[in-house]
Amino acid sequence: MTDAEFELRLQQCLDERRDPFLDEALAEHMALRPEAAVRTAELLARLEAVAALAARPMQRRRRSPVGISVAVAAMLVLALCFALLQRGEPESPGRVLRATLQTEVATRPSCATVTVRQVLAHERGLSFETIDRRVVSR
Amino acid sequence: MPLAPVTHETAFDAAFAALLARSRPRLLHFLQRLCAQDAEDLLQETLAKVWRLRASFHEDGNGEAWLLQAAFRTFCDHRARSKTRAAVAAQADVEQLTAPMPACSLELRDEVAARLQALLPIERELLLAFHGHSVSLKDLAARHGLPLNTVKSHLHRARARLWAEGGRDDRR
Repeated sequence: MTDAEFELRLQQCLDERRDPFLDEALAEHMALRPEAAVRTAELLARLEAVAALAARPMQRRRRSPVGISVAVAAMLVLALCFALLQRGEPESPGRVLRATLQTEVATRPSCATVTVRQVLAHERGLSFETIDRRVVSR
Repeated sequence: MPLAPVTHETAFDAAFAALLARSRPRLLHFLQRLCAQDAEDLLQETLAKVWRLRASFHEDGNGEAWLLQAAFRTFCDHRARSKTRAAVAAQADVEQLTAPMPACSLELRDEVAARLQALLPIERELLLAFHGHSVSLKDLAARHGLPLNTVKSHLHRARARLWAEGGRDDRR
């Protein structure tokens, strides 16, 4: 077997997901040429590394500690706002303390895009607001 | 390895023992390059085997080449045994019956990552899908709208470039 024939057969073996060291003809060639055996082992090690690299993005999907911290902080803020709403302070007689409506864009003659800003709770400089963008028909 | 005790040592046995002692580092180095984690065990197995078969050794031949062949055959036998054990384990649904595949070194992984970047995008994609995600050649051909032989050619070139010594890129 020539070196070119060896390489072709090796590639075919890999295409078929067979172990080149267990292929009789390839093993015969490698037994007589230790350097071919070493190179084949190196190729298989590199292909294992390819498999490991391909699996890496899956590991990245784990949530980072920063992401968890942000989520926890957001939940705390929401809980605080909810507590403020539940307390029924004198200055919060209704559900919406203050609302502003602003026409932004008249995208078509029949409708307009508006932004509605509602202050739902306010206490000692801390307020909870929602900003809602809507498309309304005229 | 403590060689088998030679009680009625002949000149041939002494010469053969000397050959083994002389070739030991080369054999170990060869086996380490084939299978680093089991090299010592394979060396012991090889030496024991060739000692038993020493009568078939011709003194006028290339002793070291003969020993390297024996070491390679021992490695192939070991690999076949490992595969059989793994297959039996898979059939019996027994986990960790055989030692897990060793994780490749970070250096090798970095080197391979760099080589992957140097591949053509289609070569990289096919190599990662075939060897990384076990996608079949047929599925790859369908996914990329390519003939099966073209997929194989891309894969062959990608492997050859991954394999090239020192990251040599023969496209240039």
